[in-house]
Parts: sequence; C-alpha cells; structure tokens
Amino acid sequence: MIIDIIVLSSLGLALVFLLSWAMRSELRARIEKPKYLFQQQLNNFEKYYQHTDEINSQQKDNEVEQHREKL
Amino acid sequence: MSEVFKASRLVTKAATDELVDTPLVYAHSIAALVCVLFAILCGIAISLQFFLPDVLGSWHSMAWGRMRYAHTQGIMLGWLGNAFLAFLYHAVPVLTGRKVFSHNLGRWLFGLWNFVVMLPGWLLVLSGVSQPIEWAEFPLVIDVFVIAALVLAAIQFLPPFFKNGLEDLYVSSWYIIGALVFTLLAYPMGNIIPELVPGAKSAAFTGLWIHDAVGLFVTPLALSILYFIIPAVTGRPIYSHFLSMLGFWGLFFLYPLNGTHHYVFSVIPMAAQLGAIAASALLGVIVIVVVTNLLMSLRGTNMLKKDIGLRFVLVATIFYLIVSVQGALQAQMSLNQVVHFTDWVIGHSHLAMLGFATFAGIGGIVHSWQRIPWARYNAGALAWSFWLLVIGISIMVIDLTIAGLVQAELWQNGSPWYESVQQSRPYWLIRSLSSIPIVAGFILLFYGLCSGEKGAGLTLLAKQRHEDANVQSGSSANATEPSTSNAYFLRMSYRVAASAAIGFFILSIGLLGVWPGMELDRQIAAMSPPDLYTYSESEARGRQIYAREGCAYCHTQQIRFTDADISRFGAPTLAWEGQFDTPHMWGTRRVGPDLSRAGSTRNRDWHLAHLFAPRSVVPWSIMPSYNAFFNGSADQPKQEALDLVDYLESLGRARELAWPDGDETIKSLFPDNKWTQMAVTSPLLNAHPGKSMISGELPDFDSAPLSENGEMLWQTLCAGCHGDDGTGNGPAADWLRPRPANLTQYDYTQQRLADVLWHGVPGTAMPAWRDIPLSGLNALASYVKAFAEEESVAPPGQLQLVTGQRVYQNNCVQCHGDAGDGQGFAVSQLAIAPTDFTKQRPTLGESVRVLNNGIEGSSMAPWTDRLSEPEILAVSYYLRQFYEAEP
Repeated sequence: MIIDIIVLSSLGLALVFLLSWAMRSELRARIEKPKYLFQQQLNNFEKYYQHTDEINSQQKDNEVEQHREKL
Repeated sequence: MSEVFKASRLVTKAATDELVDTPLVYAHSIAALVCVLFAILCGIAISLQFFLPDVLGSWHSMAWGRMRYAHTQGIMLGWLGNAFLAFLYHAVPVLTGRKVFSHNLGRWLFGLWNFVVMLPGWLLVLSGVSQPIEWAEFPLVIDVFVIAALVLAAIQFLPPFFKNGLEDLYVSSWYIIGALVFTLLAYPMGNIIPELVPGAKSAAFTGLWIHDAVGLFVTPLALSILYFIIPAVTGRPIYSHFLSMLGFWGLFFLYPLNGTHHYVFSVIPMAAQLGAIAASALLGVIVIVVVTNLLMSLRGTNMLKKDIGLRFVLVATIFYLIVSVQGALQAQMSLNQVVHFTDWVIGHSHLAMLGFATFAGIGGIVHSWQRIPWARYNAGALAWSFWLLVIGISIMVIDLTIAGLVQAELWQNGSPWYESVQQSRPYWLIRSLSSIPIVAGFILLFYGLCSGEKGAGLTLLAKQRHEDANVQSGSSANATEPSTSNAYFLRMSYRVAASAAIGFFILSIGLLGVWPGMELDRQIAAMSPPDLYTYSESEARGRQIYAREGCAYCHTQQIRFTDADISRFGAPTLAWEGQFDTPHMWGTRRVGPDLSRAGSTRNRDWHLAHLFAPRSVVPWSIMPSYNAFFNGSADQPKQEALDLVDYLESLGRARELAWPDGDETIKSLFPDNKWTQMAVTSPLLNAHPGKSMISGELPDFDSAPLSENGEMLWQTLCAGCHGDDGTGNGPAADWLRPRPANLTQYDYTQQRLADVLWHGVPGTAMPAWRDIPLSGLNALASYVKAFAEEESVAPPGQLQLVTGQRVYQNNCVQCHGDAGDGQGFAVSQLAIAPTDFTKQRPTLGESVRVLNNGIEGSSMAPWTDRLSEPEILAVSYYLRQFYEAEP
C-alpha cells in the first residue's frame, strides 16, 4: 500500500507538471520567467560591485597621489 | 512598467544601501572554517584509532565515541550550518532585492549558533552528555537552542521572500524557503521523538531523521547555492527553470519518504521498507533530472577556468550525481543485503557531507566572500585548496567504498570477524592519509580568504568581466510578460504545491513513523513473552554508559533478517526485544560484531579485561581502552565498569529466557509471514551461535600437521590469555579467574581440544570458536598439542598407587567421577566442569601445584590442610592413569 501511494503520487506529480508545461505555452514562459528576473538582478549587482571596485581603485589612486604630494 | 525593470530598479537601489550584510557573511564564513577544522581534527583522531587504537592515550574526553559525536555534529551544524548561513546573508538580498530582517538579529543568531549551540554542544558530548542518535548527538538541552536558532533564521531570511510574493520566485529561493521551513519541522521530530518511544519504533523515527537531516536541511541549501552561483558566474540563466522546479518538488516529496531505507531487512514492517526503497529509486531519477539541468546550465562556459567558486560548484554537482545514484542503488535489497553496515556506507556519507555539501558550501563562501569589498582574497591559495580537497575526498571515498566491498565479501562468506578487521587495516590507513590533503585544502582555503589584498576578489571579478564582455549579455529579452490569468494560475499552483509539501512531510511521518509504530505495537502484543526480562538498576546505568560512549556506532544491536546475520549472530531481532530501549541502540555500522546476544558469549572477567585493555584478550582488537572506568587494573573496576559489564551480560538474556516455549505459538500466529517464520526457526533459536556450551555434537576434527595457519590463529585468538608460549601468562592472565590453562603442562586428546575449541569452557573466559573454519581449528589444535612438555617421571611405587587410589576415592570422586572422566555426582552443582582426566593429563608437577594451591575462581580448593605431601604426590600419580591416549 505504501509503495503504491509513493509511486502513484510521484508519477502523478510529475505528470501534472509535464502536462501543464506541454499544453500551455504561456505557462511555459511564465515558469521560466524567474530565471530571467534573477539574471537581471545578478547583472545589477555585478554592475554595482564593478562600480564599488572602480571607487576603490579611485580611492587608492587618490591615496597614492596624496602620499606623493606629502613627499 | 515591466516586472524585470521593476526588479532591477529595486535591486540597484537596495544595493547602494548596502543590501548585503557583509560583516555577517564574513563572521559565519570564519566560524564555518574554524568549525570544519575542529570537526576534521576529531575525524582524524577517530580514524587514527582504527589502526592505532591507543594513540590518544587514556584521556577519556577524547574517547572514540565522544569524538565521533563531536565530528558529525561539527560537520553538519558547525561547518555546513555556518557556511549556509554565510551564503544566505549574501544570497537572500540578491534573490529578493531586500535586506534580511535585522542586523542585530543576525548578531544574536551568530552568537546563538556558535556560542550556545556549537561550543557547549561539543563540550557536553566530550564530557559525556549526549544523545546516541545518528546526526542528533547533541543532548536535548542543546536541541532547544538549535530550534530557537532555526526560528531566528526563519525570521531573518523568510520575510524578504514573502514580501515580494511567490509567483516569481527563483528556484534557489524555493530551496531556501523549503530548507528553513522543513528543518524547523524535522529537527524536533528527529531529535525528540526517539527519546520518547522505544526500540524499533524509535528506530523508525531515527531513520526518518537521518534522511531528513541530509534531504531537508543540507541538500536544499546546497542546491540553492548551485542554482545561484552557476547563473551568477556564467552570466546566463539556468538551462530550464521548469526542470529545476520539477526537481524541487520531487526532492521535497521523496526525500522524507526515504528514511526507512536505513533499516532494510529489519523488523520494521516490510511495507514501510519497500516504500522507502521505491522512494529511493525515484529520488535517483529526480536527481538525474536536477543534475542534467545544472550541467546543461554550465555547458560551453569558459568561466570554470577563471572562477574558483564555480569550480567548487561543478565538482559538487558531480558528487551529487554520484552520491544520489549510489544511494538509490544501495537502498535496493540485493545491494543493501551485502554492503549495509560496512565502510561502503561511511564512504557514501562522506561523499554526501564532505563531497557534495562541502563543495557546495565552499562554493557559496568563496562566491560571497569575493564580493565583500573590504575582504582579502588570494586566488592562488584557493585554487590549490580546490585541488587538494578534490584529491583528498576522492581518495577517501574510493578507499572506503572498496573497503566496504572487502568487508561485505568476508561477512557474506562467514569468515571470522577478525579477518574483516585485519583486511580493513590498509584501507583505514589510506583513509587517514587522505586527511592530509583534506586538512591542507581547508587550511589553504582559510589562508586564501585571509591573505591577499583587501578587495582583491572584486578586482579579479572586474578583470574577468572586462576580459569577457559577452558574459554579461542580457537575457531579459527572453522574459515574457505573462497574462494575469497565468500569474494567478501559477500563484495558486505554488500555494497548492507548498501545501502539498507540508502534506508530504506529514505523510512521511505517518507512513514511515506512525503507521510502522502501530504495526510494531501489534507485533509486540502478539509475540512478546508474558514475563519480560527488564533491566536491573545496574544494567540500566550500564546502558546509559554504553550510549554515552558511542558504543552503538561500532556495535549494532540489530540482527537483520538475512542468512549472513542469522548464521553469525543468531535469530533476527524482534520488535519486543527493544521495549526498554529509549532511544534504541540498533546502530548503523559494524566495526565490531553485533552485540544483540553478546551476553552469553564471554564471562565477566573477560569483559572487564577487554574494557580495561582490549588487546590483552583480543590481540587484533581495535576497540578503544576504557581504562578510565578502573582504578589502574582490570581487577579493580569502578562502578561504571561493573554497570557496563552488567549491561553487556544482559544483552540477549530476555530473548533467551523467552523461548522456546512460545515459538510454536508464534509460528502458528503468522503462518504466511516469511520474516516471522525466519525469526523463529533459526538453528539456535534464542542464543548467540557462539555461545559457550557444556556439551553438544562435535564436527569431525582431524589431526593436522603444524602449520603457519595454526600459529597465526594462536597469536590472533589465544596468545592474549595463554601467552605466546602457551604457559598461561598472557597479558590478560592475571585478571582472569580461573587463570588461563598452562598448556605446556597438559597432554590433550584430539577430542578434548575439539570439545574446548568448539564449545568453549562455560564459566571461564575461554570462549567457543565456532566461527573459525574447521580447518583452522584443526591447525590450532595441533599447535596447542605441540606445547606439551616432555616430563621424565619416575614410575610410581605400588604403595603410592594404592595410596593415590584411596585418596582419590575419598576426596576427588564426587567431582571427577570414579573413572576420572569429570562426571562425579556433584557436577550439576558446579559452575565450571571438573577436569576430565581421561582426555587431558596434567604433568605430575602441575597436579601437585593444583592440589597445593587450588584453582582460584573454580570449585577446586587447595588440599594442603587435609592431605599430606606424600598423599598429594600419590594421588597425582594415580590420576595420570585415567588418560586414554589416542594412537
């Protein structure tokens, strides 16, 4: 009995997912959407870090310049 | 406004507001590395003891079992827990565009996890306060704080997800939410319920937890890292979000249903076992889908050469595939029957926790750390760390897997236990050596994160981005604007699926915990003997010591329904046998033999000597010494040793006292149940097959020439007590009463040696050696015979023989019998059978010595107060004539 419940539930779950995916093109797009949203968020973060890095580099250059001036 | 733009604006704004709580990423990463180094040092300490059992001396806090507890909890909670938390502080804000709940809450969570859970937890288990449940070794008092920390983690990380709504959640978010929610549900179930229900029912819940700990805590968080880092580094979305969601729901459905596969061939109802086996196979299929999706997401990328975090993620993905397929296969009955309890399983668990999860955890730490603007970063050291860890873990897992197969072969063909220990030694040595690259890898990882220039990680990142401008190509064009109806449909489907997941979890507890418990209750009611043997106070205390010292991690108390188990250890363990064991002591590994019926196989002195100095009685033993339970000598035990021995001697007694009165009833109650019939039709119904016996049928022993095999067996089995030279002065001899026989002083017939080797000598420390092949026993008998020393004895005078006969008739015949065959009328009253002089002849000197001194620990008293010296000499001459030498 337990084995039937597990196997049938698993197959049922997989079937519902697959049929939904196969029969509704809009749904396919909708299900895939989060990965693109996430990619966009990642891109923005990478840009932010790059910007931070540029600021860091600029700060470092300024520090070197100030040091030179002191000398 | 498109969803994409809305999200990106949100993220950009939040990023500039210091979205990621980098100090907490930093703190948890450092804590993780400190914990993993300590946990691995514990692991090395316990692995060394497999071939250098006394390497840690007599420091009791460093005892094998306690270190084992500290090792597993350190890896799961200390290392992986901190690594995952470090990653969550980076990932949740990126995934949601929102900060975590509170920085102050994060500081509390960090303090709680490391200074209220890990540190006290380690100190407690090392000082002997623990819980003998796999992956739940910290005591209940610590569990309360773990649950509190999990609640804090849920408060810290879940609100950002729910504020954004569920319909656009990326797969990593699903895994994070799932892990936080289900760990919070599973942890109390796995840590508390086994303390409340006994025996087999307790085991059913333990099985659930063992798999839930891996499947609902470790795996989801590790997978969230893989799904996060691959697109973050490659700059491309994952291959299929649909497949990732199929995998997510499949995993959360099937993982909890795997639990009982840790107890295949046990007394837990077969329907539950088969259900778990089917779920394991289906899980293997789902994992293939997940890994395919991950590998497809990595195809064609050139970032593997440049990004160290991604390299760790790739190897984690490969390890995940291997360990999952291996798990699905080893749950199947044909393979499980062979490899269960062997080092194969230890290799499997190391591949899961130190391979898959650890590589994912390191990937998460390296990825997050690299993006901390003020953190140091040394790419060279990290690259070396990667290769050292890959090499070390691969060697360890391959080595343990082969060791498991070797052990399985020996256990299946009925080889003596010492052979599996002896043949495992080279593999255990390699396992310890594999820790060198592993430790070096972790030290380099630590060094790589703490050296180099500040912000070097980001600089490297910027350089990589600059070199590969295409990496950042936007993919948002592929995102479609969904219709409202589909959004509603999707939102609803997620809600339904989330409810279903909770339902699956409850279903798993019902199907694999509660229902088997009810079935086991029915079995117990039908099969339990009416007057069940319960533990005495001393035995109950001994049981607590057994649990505290982790004995169950090397000695199972679960005889499975397999031929190999039954022939070696006796009838399969039935549900009623563990009715007073809360939690159960079934165990999951056999380094030493199963102890379910151990009580009848060795005597009390032997156990005390074995606990004090294991190699004194078993030269090949790798058991740690428990000399802390003694006042400097095995014959001066403290109460702890006495309690523990009482417990060991009680093992199997209930079963032995219960039947055979009831076996016919049970047979008739369950006529069609193959497993029940198997349990009550074993050749030796209730006792251990190696139990000492007074008499019984003997196989045909033949005279064998002296051989190296005989000498090897002597050194392996006998020298500890009888000494290398057979004089009865082995290392353990002084602690045994009666002392081991001085074999140089006796002539034995072949039959007598066969009788002693086959049946043992009940009442003494001499065990039966029926697990040794007959050819080996023949060789051993020949080796023993060769010890007998030639004695030049002057023939006795007639008067001496008459005197000897008179003395014998008046004083000895009650025990030794008229014919000297040890069958006097008082025999039934004696704990140790008197010597049968027809089959063993002492030298004249030995007889005189025994008559003068008696045999301490037996009924043979000194006779000097009743017999004169001439009488003692006369009777010593007289009894020699009984010997019936074989041609």
